[in-house]
Amino acid sequence: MIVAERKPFEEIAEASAGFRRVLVAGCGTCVAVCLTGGEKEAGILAAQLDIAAQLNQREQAFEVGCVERQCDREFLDELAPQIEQADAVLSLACGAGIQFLAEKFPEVPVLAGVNTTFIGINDDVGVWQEKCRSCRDCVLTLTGGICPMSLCPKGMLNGPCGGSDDGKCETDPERDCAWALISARLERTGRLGGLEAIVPARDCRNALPGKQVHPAYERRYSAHE
Amino acid sequence: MGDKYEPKILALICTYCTYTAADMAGSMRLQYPPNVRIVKLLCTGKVDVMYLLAAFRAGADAVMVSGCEIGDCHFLEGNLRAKERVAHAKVLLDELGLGGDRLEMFHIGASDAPKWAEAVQKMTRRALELGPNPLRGRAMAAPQAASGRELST
Amino acid sequence: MSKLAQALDGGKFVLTVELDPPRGSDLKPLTELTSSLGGKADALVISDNRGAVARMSPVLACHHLIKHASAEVIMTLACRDRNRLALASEMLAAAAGGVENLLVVSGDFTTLGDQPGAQPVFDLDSVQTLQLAASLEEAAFFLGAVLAPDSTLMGMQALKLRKKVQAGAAFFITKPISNGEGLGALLAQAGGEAPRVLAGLELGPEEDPAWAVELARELKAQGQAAGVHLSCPENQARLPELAGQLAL
Repeated sequence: MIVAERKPFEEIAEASAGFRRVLVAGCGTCVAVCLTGGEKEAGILAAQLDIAAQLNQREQAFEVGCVERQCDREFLDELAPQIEQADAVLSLACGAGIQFLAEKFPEVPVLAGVNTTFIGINDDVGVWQEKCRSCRDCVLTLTGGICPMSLCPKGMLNGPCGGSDDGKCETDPERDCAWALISARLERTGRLGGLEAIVPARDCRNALPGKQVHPAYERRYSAHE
Repeated sequence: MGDKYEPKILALICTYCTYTAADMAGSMRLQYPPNVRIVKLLCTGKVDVMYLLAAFRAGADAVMVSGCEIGDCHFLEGNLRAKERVAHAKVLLDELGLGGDRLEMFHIGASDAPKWAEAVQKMTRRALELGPNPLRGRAMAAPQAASGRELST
Repeated sequence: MSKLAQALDGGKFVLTVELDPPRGSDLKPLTELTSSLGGKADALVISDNRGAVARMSPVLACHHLIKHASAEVIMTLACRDRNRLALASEMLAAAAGGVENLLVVSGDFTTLGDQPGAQPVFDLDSVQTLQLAASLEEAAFFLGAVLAPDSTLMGMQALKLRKKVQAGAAFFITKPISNGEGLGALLAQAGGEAPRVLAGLELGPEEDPAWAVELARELKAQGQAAGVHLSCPENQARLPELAGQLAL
């Protein structure tokens, strides 16, 4: 899932201060699961902003809206009636959702209410951990299901750096060394031998903006059609 | 509104412990300020951050949440959840400028009527010190700022 | 063939000394320190933004020491600050100025330095950077890499050693060690032909070097290392005196 954290309240209040009617738009998928931008969090933020506006003698009104996914055309359409009534939309979706909302509603100013942090997992109640950097060149088969691109700060592909110390990372004594985890895991599963070959330099053309079409739809979206 | 500031305090309290204590305080003729308005919940585990913000939006000068003593919750851990939510709501109130001091969590057992009276006295004193919630009066007059959905939890 | 390679090939117990380029633009103190080291060291390892703290480029510092102090240098190149274009570009620049020995390191992570918000590059890792250096036809470097003998991940460090040798590393410098046990175990685990290793000996600013001299003698006597690498990061002015004691 995509994980995000709410921006500092002050930043949100300042960004929205100039708008009379603000729609606080939640997203019911990833950011709802990470307790940052679902319908409930949109309601809390709207209540906070409303109280702050009154304390600061600002004539503002905050409406709450929420769709299942702001990154999906069909769901996004449901916000149209509320957006029509708004001077600005404060979106609590991830960066993808905020952008798609902006693209689909070109006339209304869009404000970001969250910082998208990472692709991760729900480790425990209220705790999320980064797991994937979406590098488009997955090495997890080789590395025992533990990602050196995401969990090793240096993204080392050929084994640990010299800073690995007692299973911990040189960047933080609390942080596990990804290669210590990989090593233990591959040893347990008898697959250490797979690491012997040098992993070549990765292809950084993944820095270009991505777009993907499912093979079954290639004809539909090809230039000839 | 008269000239004299009489704080309005909302108390969200649980059936099994604090409400029983408050009831007993009445039977015992214990004196405590009449500024508190009690809302009885089955358990403080039902307390939601939105309830707390809604109370301040409606003009409450202070809000107190009171559940069972730690370890004695009739529903095992409802009071622990309330404690975490109140702590979080205090941060939200600090952020928006009203101040988290207007909100407090208490733990009062069923037989502890004097503790209830003390808690009300404490919150009343605090509400007097902090002065009226600036949204008082305003809240009623203000247009329905957010839609009715904001109370959904 | 570089003088360092010749010394190692000739079976000399080699001493290298680590020096930082200046934090400013004045090369005089570094040149003077090099002169006072005289012939005590077989080569000077010129660091590259050690500790993720920005200093003068080791390329220029190396050129200067070659030209004005006739020094035998080992230029350090860290993967942290440059992508593969910049790494190749620095290698070519180094070669043009007469640098013959190159030490490839990953580099201390950016958050440990004085610009913690800097972009950590790590486009290539140390193994891939060695491959890049080995592939440059215009620059035939004597290539070195780092070993971590006291790591708890012995198997992984042995794996990395094998990969570095395969990628072209002809000599190794270890991270600071205090005895020869870890190094012996690491080399045994790595298997294959024993590589030429310079044991890293790091001294504190005022530390008595007796233990380091003792360890160097031991490593030499037992043939565990091909030499030692001396560093005193907090007090580099001591290096000429220390090098005098460690040149065996």
